[in-house]
Amino acid sequence: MTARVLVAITCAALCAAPGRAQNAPRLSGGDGLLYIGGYPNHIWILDEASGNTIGTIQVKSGIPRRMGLSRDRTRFYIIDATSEFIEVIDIAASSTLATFRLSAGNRRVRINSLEADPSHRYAVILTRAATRLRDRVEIGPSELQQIDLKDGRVLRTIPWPDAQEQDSVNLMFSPDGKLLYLLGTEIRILETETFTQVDRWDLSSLEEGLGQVSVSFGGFGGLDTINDEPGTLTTTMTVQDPVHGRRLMGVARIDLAAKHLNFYTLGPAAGVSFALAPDHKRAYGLESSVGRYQFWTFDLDKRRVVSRVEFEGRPRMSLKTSSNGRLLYIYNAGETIDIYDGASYRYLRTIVLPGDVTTQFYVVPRAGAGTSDGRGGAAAVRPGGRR
Amino acid sequence: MSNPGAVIAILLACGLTAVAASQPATSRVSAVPEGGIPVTDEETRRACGSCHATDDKHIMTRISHRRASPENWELTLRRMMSLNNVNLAPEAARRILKYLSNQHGLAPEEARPAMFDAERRLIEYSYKADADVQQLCSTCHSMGRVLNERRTREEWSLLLAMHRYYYPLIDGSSGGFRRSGGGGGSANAQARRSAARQEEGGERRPPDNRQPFERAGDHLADAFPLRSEAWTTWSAAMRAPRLDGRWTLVGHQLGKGRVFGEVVIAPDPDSPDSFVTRGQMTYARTGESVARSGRAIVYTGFQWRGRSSGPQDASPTWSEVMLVERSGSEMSGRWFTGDHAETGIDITLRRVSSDPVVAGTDLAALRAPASGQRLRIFGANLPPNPAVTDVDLGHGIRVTRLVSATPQVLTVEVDVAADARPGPRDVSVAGFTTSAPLVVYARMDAIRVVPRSGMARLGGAAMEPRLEQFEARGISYGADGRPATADDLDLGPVEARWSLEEYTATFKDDDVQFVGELGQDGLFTPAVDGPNPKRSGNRNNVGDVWVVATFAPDGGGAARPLRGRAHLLVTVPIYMDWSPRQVGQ
Repeated sequence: MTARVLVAITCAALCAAPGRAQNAPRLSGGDGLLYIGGYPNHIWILDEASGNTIGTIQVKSGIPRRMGLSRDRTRFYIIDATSEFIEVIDIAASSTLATFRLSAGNRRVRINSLEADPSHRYAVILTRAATRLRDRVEIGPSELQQIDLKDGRVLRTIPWPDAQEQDSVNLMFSPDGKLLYLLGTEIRILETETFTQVDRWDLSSLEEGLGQVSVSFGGFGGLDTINDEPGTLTTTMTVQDPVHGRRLMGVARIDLAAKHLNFYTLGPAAGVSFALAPDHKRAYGLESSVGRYQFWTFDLDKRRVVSRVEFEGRPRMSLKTSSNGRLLYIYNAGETIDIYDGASYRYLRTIVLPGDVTTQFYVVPRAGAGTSDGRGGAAAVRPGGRR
Repeated sequence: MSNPGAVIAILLACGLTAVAASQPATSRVSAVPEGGIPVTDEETRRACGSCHATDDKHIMTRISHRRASPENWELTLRRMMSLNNVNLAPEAARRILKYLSNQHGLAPEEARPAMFDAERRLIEYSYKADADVQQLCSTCHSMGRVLNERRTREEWSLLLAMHRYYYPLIDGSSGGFRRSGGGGGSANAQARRSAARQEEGGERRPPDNRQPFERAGDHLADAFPLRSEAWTTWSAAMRAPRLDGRWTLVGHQLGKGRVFGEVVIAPDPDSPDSFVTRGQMTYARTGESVARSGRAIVYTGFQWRGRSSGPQDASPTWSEVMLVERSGSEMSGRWFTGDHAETGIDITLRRVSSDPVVAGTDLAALRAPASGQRLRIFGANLPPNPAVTDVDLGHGIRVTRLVSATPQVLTVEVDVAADARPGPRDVSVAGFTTSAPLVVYARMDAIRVVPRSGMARLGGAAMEPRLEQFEARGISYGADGRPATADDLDLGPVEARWSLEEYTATFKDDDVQFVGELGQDGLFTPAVDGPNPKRSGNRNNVGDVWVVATFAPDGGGAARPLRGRAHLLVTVPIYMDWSPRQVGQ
C-alpha cells in the first residue's frame, strides 16, 4: 500500500461521515446544471454552484422512470414507469416536444431501450409486445424498431443480426448518424439506411493470452454522454485470467470508429460502478453492498486504483462526478443528493430535492447545456426554486 | 351483483354458507379425457363462457385443462371478477368455486404435500425437484401455490405468459424469467447441468439454451400434469363426506402448549358437504377452556375449510384447514387467526365411537427417577372409576394413585423408577392406547427455541403487524449423550426467560434497539412500520436479532442455566398483498 493510499484512508476514516458540520471553505462542483427526474412527474433543474433548484420540467407521460440525454445535450428522451410512453423533452425550452406510445387496443408495447439518431429525426427502440386475447395473452418477440420521433410511427422493424433475438441491448449511433452500434461483448455495426449489419467486433477474446472478456454498458441511459468523446466509450470490463482462472477488472477505452480498444487490468474483479471524471484522467467507482460502501479512485493515466475508502453510504446508491470533477454526488434512492469532496472523500453537504428521485442524474456543464450550439440553456429555464 | 368487493367479502367466508343442493361433491366425478375435463355445470359454463369458448363436448378453453386446490380456484375467480369484468352473485361464486374444486380438483396425494399453503404456515420450504424453478416462482409467491396446480403443457405455458403480461418486470433481473446471453437458467444451474452431463460420462450434448421460464414451463408440465393416476383414482372413489359425530381434539399451540377437547360435527341440512360444529377445548398447562362453534365445507371429498368463533361477539374468528383421511375417522391440519394467520394450533381430530379414546397427556416428559408426579390423561369415554392397574405407562412407571376421573380426564400420580428406560412411552387406559404422548428421560441437556427461524413484520402505524411466537423446548441427548442424534428426546415446552440479542448482519445498525419487544411468554411484538428518524438514513425498524431463551431445570444437573436461541428477521409490512384475502380489494 502506498503512502498516498494510507493518507487517503486515514483522512477518509476521520472525515467521511454525513451530518458532520464543516467549517472549511465551500468547495464548488462547478457552474453546471444538474438534471434529475423524480416523482411524480418532474425533472428538477439545479444550479450546481449553489445547489438550489432553479427550475422544473413537467413530464406529461407520467412518472419519468428512465431518462437519456442526447449527445448534443438538447433533448431528454424519457421512458415512463409503465415502459409504454416515450416523451421527448426540449431542454432549453423546458417543454415537451412529443409524447407517444405504441400500445393500442388490447396490445401493449413495452419499450426497453431507446436511442435517438443525432439529428433527432428518428429513434431505434427495443420493444416487446403483449397482446391480451379473450382468454389468454400472447407475448411477442423482442424487436428492434425504428420510429419517427415526431409522431411515434413505426418506420420499420429491424431484423436481428444473424436472427439472434436479444432481450436487452445497448444502442449507440456514430456521431454522423450513419452507423448504429449494438453494444455488447460482441459489437454489431449496422448502417442506418437499411439497417443491415456491415461489421462486427468481438471483444470477448481481444488478444492472445488475455482470456475471456465481458463488457457492461449499463442499459438505456447508462452510457456517459457528457464526459466521453463522441464515438468513444470508457467503461469497465472483466477478464478471466486464462492461467489462474482469476477474474480481473479493468478499464477499456473503446474508439468505435477506429475499432480500437485500449484495455488494462486494475485488480481483482469487484462490483464497482464507474464514473468518468471530465478530465478523462481520473474516474471514480462505487462499491455498494449492504454494510460495505467504498469510494474508489482510478488513475487512468497511471492505470491503477489509487484509493479505496469506506464511507457511510446507502444500501442503494449511484455516483456522478461534478462538472469540474472535484465533487462526487451520491444519489438514489430517496430525495437527497449527498456531496463529497472527490480528493478527500470528505462529506460536504446534502441537497434535498422536492421529491423522490426516479431517473438517471445528469451533470451538464453550463456551456453547451440545453442548446446544440453551446450557448447554454440556463436562461431558458423557468424559475421554480422549490428548495 | 355488480360490486366485486361484496362478492369477494362473501367468498372470503370460504364458501361456508349454503351451497345449492344441486352441487353435491359426488354429483359428477370424472377422470381426465384426452381433450380435457368437460365442464358439466351449466352455471359455470354460463359464467365463464363469455371469454372461454365451449365445444360440443363441453370442453372449455383454459378451464378444461386445469385442476387446482380450492384456494387457487378462488384466486382465479377473484382475478376474473376484479380484472376481467366477471359479475357473480356471492352464492353463484360459491357454487362455481365448489364445482371447480370438486371436478377440477386435486387428489389427496396431490394436495397433501402442499397443505402448508392452505394452512398458512410460515415454513422454509425447499422444492428439491428443481431449485431453479423454486427460485423463479418463490421470488414472488409461495411454492405452495405452484404445488397446488395441475395443468397441461400448453396451460403452464399460458400461465407463464399471463405472469409476463401483468408483471413485465419479471422478464428482467427482478424476476429472472428471461436472461440475456446463451442458455437458460442461472450460471449455477448451467454449471450443475454441465457437471451432471460430465457425470453421465462426459457425453457432449447441445447446451440447454432455453430461457428460465421455458425451462420452468417444461418442468412444471412434467411434474404437475393435468392427467394423473392419483386423480383418476380419487375422482372415481370420491364420495360425499360423512363426518357427523363426536371427535376428540388434540392440538398444540406454540407458546400455550397442548390442547385437548371434543368437537361435535353435524351435517348442514341446507347444504351438501357442509357441516356445523360445536367444540370445547382446554389448554392443558393453564386449564383455560375455550368453547367454539362454526361451520365448514368439505371440498373434493377431503379438504375441510371451516370457520369458528367463541361465544362472545368480540372473540376472534379462527379459520380451519384440515385434510380428511380416506378412512374418514381422522383429520388434521391447522386452525389459525391473526392478521397474518400467525397464531395457530396444529390440530388432529379423531372420530369417537362408544369405546374409550386416549388422546394424550398434559406432560410431554417424565423425569427418572421421580415420585408422586401428577399426570393428567385426556380422552373421551374414559372409564369412570378405573383401577390404578388399568393405567399403563410401560416399564418403570407405576401409577400409585387415581386422583380423579371424568369421561374426559383422568388424573393420576406416578412414580418413575431410576432404571425406567428413557424414550417414548405409550399410554394405555383399560386396554385403549395412544402412541407416545410422552417420553421418559434422565437429564435435560439443552433447550431448543422454535421456530428456529422466525419472521415478524413491522406494523401498527399504517399496516397490521405480524407477531411471532417462540417456544423453548427441553432436549435430552438420550443414551448416547450426543446432540442431534436419533435418540434425542423432545421433552416439551419449558418456562424459559426470554431476551433479545443483536444478530449482526450489517455494521453498526443496532437492530436490537429498534425491532420490537419480546414478552416473557415468548411472543415477539414488532415495532411500528414507517421511517424512524432515530435511525441513520431514516431507516425503518427492520433488523435481525437473536431470540434467546434461558432455563434452569430443577435438579437437572446442569452446572449453569441452559440457553437456546433462534434467529428472528423483522421485516417490512406486506404493502402489496396478493393473497386471497386481499386480491381485488
